[in-house]
Amino acid sequence: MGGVDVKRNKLVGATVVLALVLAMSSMSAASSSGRPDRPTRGVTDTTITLGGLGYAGFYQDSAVGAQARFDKANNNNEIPGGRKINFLGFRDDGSDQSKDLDEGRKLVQEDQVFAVVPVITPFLGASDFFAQNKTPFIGWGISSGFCENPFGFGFSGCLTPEDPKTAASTWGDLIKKGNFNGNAKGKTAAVIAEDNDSGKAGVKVITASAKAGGFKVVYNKNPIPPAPATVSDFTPFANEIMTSNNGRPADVVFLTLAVNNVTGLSNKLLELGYQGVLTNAVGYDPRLASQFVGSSVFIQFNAFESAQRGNTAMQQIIDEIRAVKSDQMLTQPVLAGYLSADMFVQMLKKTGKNLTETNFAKAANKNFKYEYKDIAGAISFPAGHRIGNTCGTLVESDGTNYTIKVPFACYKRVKV
Amino acid sequence: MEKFLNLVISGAVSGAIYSVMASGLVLTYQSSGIFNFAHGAVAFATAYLFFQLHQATSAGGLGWPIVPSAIVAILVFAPLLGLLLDRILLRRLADAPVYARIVGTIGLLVALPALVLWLVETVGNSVLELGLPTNTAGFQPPGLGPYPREVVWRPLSGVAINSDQLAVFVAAGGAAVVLWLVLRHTRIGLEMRAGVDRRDLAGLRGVNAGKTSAVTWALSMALAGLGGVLIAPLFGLADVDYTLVVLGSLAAVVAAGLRSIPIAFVAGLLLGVLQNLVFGYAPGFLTDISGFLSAIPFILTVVLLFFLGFDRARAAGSVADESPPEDHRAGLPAWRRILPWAIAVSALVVYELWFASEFWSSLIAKGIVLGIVFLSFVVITGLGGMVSLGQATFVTASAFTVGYLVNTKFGFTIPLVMHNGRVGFFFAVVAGAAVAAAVGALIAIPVRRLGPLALALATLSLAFVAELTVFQLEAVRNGSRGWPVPPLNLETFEAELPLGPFDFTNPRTMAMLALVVFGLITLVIRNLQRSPSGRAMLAVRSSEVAARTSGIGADWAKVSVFAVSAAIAGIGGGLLAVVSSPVNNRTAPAFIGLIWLAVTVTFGIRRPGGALIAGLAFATFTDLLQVVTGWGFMPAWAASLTNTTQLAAILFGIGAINLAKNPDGVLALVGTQRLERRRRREERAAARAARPVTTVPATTPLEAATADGAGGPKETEPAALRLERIVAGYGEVEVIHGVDLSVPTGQVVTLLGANGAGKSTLCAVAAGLLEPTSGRVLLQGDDVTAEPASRRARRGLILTPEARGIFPGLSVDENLSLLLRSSAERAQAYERFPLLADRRRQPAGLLSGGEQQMLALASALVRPPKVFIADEPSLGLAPLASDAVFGALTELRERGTSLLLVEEKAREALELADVVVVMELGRIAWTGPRRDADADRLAAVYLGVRV
Repeated sequence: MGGVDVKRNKLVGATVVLALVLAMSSMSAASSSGRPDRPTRGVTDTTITLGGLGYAGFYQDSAVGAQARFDKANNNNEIPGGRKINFLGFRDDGSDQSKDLDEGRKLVQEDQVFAVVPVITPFLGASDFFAQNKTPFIGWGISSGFCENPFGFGFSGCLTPEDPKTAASTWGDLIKKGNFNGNAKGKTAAVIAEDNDSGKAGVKVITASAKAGGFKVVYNKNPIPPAPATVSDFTPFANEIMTSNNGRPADVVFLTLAVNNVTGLSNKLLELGYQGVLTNAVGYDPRLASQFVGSSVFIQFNAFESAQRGNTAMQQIIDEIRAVKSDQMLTQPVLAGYLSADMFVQMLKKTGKNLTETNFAKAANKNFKYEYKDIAGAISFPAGHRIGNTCGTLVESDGTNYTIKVPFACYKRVKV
Repeated sequence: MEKFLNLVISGAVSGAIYSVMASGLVLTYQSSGIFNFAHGAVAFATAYLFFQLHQATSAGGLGWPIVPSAIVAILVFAPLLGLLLDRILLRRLADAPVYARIVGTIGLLVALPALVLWLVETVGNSVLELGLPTNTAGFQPPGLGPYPREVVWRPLSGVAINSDQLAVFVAAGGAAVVLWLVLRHTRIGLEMRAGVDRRDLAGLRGVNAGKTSAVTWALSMALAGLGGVLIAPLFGLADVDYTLVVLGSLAAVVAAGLRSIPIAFVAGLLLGVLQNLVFGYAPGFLTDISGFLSAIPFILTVVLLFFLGFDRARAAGSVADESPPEDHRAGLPAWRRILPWAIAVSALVVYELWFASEFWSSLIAKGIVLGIVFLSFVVITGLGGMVSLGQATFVTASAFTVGYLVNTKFGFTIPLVMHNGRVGFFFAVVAGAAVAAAVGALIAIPVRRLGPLALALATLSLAFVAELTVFQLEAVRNGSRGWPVPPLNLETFEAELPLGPFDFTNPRTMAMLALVVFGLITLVIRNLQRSPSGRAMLAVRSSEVAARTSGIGADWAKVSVFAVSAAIAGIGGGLLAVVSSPVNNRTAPAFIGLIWLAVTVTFGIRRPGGALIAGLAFATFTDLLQVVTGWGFMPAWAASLTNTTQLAAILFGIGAINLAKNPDGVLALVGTQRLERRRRREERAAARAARPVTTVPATTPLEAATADGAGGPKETEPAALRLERIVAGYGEVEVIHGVDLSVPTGQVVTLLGANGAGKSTLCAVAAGLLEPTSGRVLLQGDDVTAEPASRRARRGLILTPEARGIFPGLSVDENLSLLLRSSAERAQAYERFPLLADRRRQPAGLLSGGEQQMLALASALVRPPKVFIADEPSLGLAPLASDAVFGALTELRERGTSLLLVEEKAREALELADVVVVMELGRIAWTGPRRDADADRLAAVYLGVRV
């Protein structure tokens, strides 16, 4: 009996302690969170404080692009109320979902930023937190955190919607134009993705895009093992594609895979004598130029190379970037950073002098249209919380440089 | 048919990637007994250096050609890294408990890539602004083959082997052949294998363990480096990928039983073929399950482990697996033990509730929640002695369960448990913990009989299987957006439902909840330790064999440890779902389980306090460092140096490596040091108070006794072996309390004594296996006390230990060649023992007891050593064999060898003796010439009756 009593006493004791501690913590929490009429976080009469967030390993350079745009805004007194932007730089989430949340918290709670610009990361763990703290975040919508979030604004919209009902015809159309003289009649396409549920969804969207371009899709599967599995040999996948069109290879292969797998599969297809078109959406980077020779690379905005063709808007952006860092390599993240910053500046302009989180969200979410002429396509909000824009460029590498195959343009939206 | 051939040929060539890695892993395990989890990390470091050297100057590299870059990276850097690691880490790990060996190399796996990247990216580029080349997503640098690569072999229309693949294949095959030759046909290879077979005995036979360890690691690191440089063009330069390739090759390693390099090589190729065939011929219903085919190599690893279970046999051989360290708090009253913790936790609570900023309070909340997760390591590793690398799986399983239950509106409501059709938070966490426990038990049931290393590998493989299959399903992870906990209104992002009566989204409330939960689990763990099942677990941990023979259900104990630990990880996972909301499959990926383990071990894995500090450190370290380096008086570069997550990885990795020295983490280290200081103080005080204790005198002065012996020593000639005032023992237990003994040149000293008198310990001290606490060992007048066994062996002191002085895993011929290097000498040995000649190729372990003892004596007879110590040479032998042994010993004596003969069988030993020494409870009880050693006297000494 005594043992039972002791146990019961212990249990009662523990419960009392639990209740006490929690009550205490709730009290202290209530006292600290009651801050009436606080000024808008990160905004003073003269400054707006911002910071960037994402995977520094790959997207660090976006800070240079953002800085270039903010410098321009500050120099030209573009911000309403004469405020200047104080850009704190880019916080690294190490491509780690929980770390992303921690760093996002830090930006809001320690750095006291008004908004997070630019945001570029595959795993945006902080998106709910930003919404709960009324913190706008503007960036490249490559992660699903940009979708269905009233404070998340991708300059390209939401590119990875959950259960997509529509797809952009862009990729299919670009290939049709760039590789088949605008006529894909009788041409076949293969679509290949990674062996998980998101790969399955990706295959559906790209299949719809390829069909919209007029291709007959003869192969659409997602067999490639993703990390943490490793692929030592791409031969079986390559052979499936090589025989997918009644024993012959498909005319074009859409590779919607991680970069390593794009490289591995593309190489194996070429080694097996594939003569058709290989296309991917990851290969536009000067450092990868030698790796994707001959592949058609789809990019979601205009290419830097358009400056050589008389695109003065692009030349101006390049000049502004070089003013921040003279030897900056021109990569997609740099431009994405620039465009994120630009869209944010436009949103500030629409919000006007009276800058609060609520006013900003209201202005940005009500018939806000964004387009950077000759650089990035049109997107509007709130629609951009659910869909991506339909614009793009097709480029090809000759080993050292990229040339534009199909100039920047926008295309239509199709049902999946 | 053509499809089949396509798949087989290309799979075999590509499988060479796995062969390279698998051979390296087998080599290190074979020659050092360590499974090197850091193999991929070394491969990465070497490939990264090669990249820095070879990359064009325009891209920031040094622009060296391939050959010099490869020589510097593979043949200079990697072996030097091996030597360095051998010195600071691996040599210590060889004697460490199994879990320390596993965790030590995991520490290296965490620290090394982080260090490389920190040096290049942070120090090189951010601080010094050198503009070094760094990795780009998907960039695949040139390797050893021509660039751009070419197709070099096209056996069939559907197979094209390119130069990089061929390079891997050729290098893998070449490396396997070279390694096999080195291990089987060189002196160093023989010594390496002898060291693995019986480490102590190898030292006694003159094998310098330090040297072989260094050679092994230099060689295997070069192999890892070669693998790294070869696969860089195939996988790019992301550090994790290298480890994933290594883990991908696990099935081949397991198939080779961690033993045979040729099998590992072939199994690697087969693994490549199998992957291809499965893809080519798997039935449709399997290919439709997303992730299943990708998980096959890991499933295969688990299945092979289950059937081959390579370290199952070893468990039976080890007598006492490990004993826990001394509790430095022993003797302190309970309140005094708790006091520091009470103060620290109160301070934390006060800071958290009233002083911490929002940001810091949420970091601390996360830290405490992680502390709960880390408690699961305390149970499974600290208490159960098993290493589970799959704890992240339990965290994710529980977090998903919680997410599903609180987000789903059921059509019914159970009062108290549910509100408006949704499960309440507390019950969701309980359900999550239950799911985790069930998963844990499910995993434990098939793997419970595996040895510690196999268990670690199996849990890691299963974690990968879960990650590739179940956890990535959209319905399970709720799409890429994950499960918000608490559920959110998707318009306003406000919590739709509170998580029970308190607002647990407030980090302060969550921190307090977590702290209370942590305390409760700690109590449960303590009660568990004291319960019968807890004692069963400790018994199993301490020695599984002994536990089984004592009637303890070892399997049951293991499964329940697994389930309890999984449940704790599950509770942590449930709370983590709130602090890391929304949770998806990226919140706790399988790989992070390795890092968690490293952190927990750094702070001590045996005690709950260590887990709490580890959790807090893991959550706050990087930010804490930045606060410190951000202080006004710190130079700007200090902030730049620390502005990276890599520093935390480096330090936690080094922390885990440090475990090799201090298996119980920082806490125990600090505690033990304090205890030692206290003890020294007390000793000094005691020494001041009392006169120094005189050493125990021998009953008869030794010199006098030996002078009376047959022949008598020449005064000028020093004794062949002389032990002076030896005090020795194991840990805190002193076994020998001041013994003097000398073996005069050319004489036989017979050491008699009852079981436990300290005879074998004295032999170990003489041979250099055990370092005496005080006293000297002199070999022909030279002080050799500080010399290792191998050097004493080369000076001519040979000990044949109690349990046969042979290497059971080596062949008879190899056994002989350790001491008899020339084949002529071995021929002499075979002449003397023709029986051995017949069996020269057989493993010595297959010989009979008498034959084994013959083998042990054979080398000595061919090359008589100066001093020969035989520890119970006739133990367990048939009379005939025993006679032969004494015959051999007599022969040795005739050839001038001085003998120290330890025997319980007094009669034969006495016949041989010149001098008789009787030991009793760690002291010399009697010494004298043989003629004085009459049977009555000896019997009296044996029985402890003074004559």
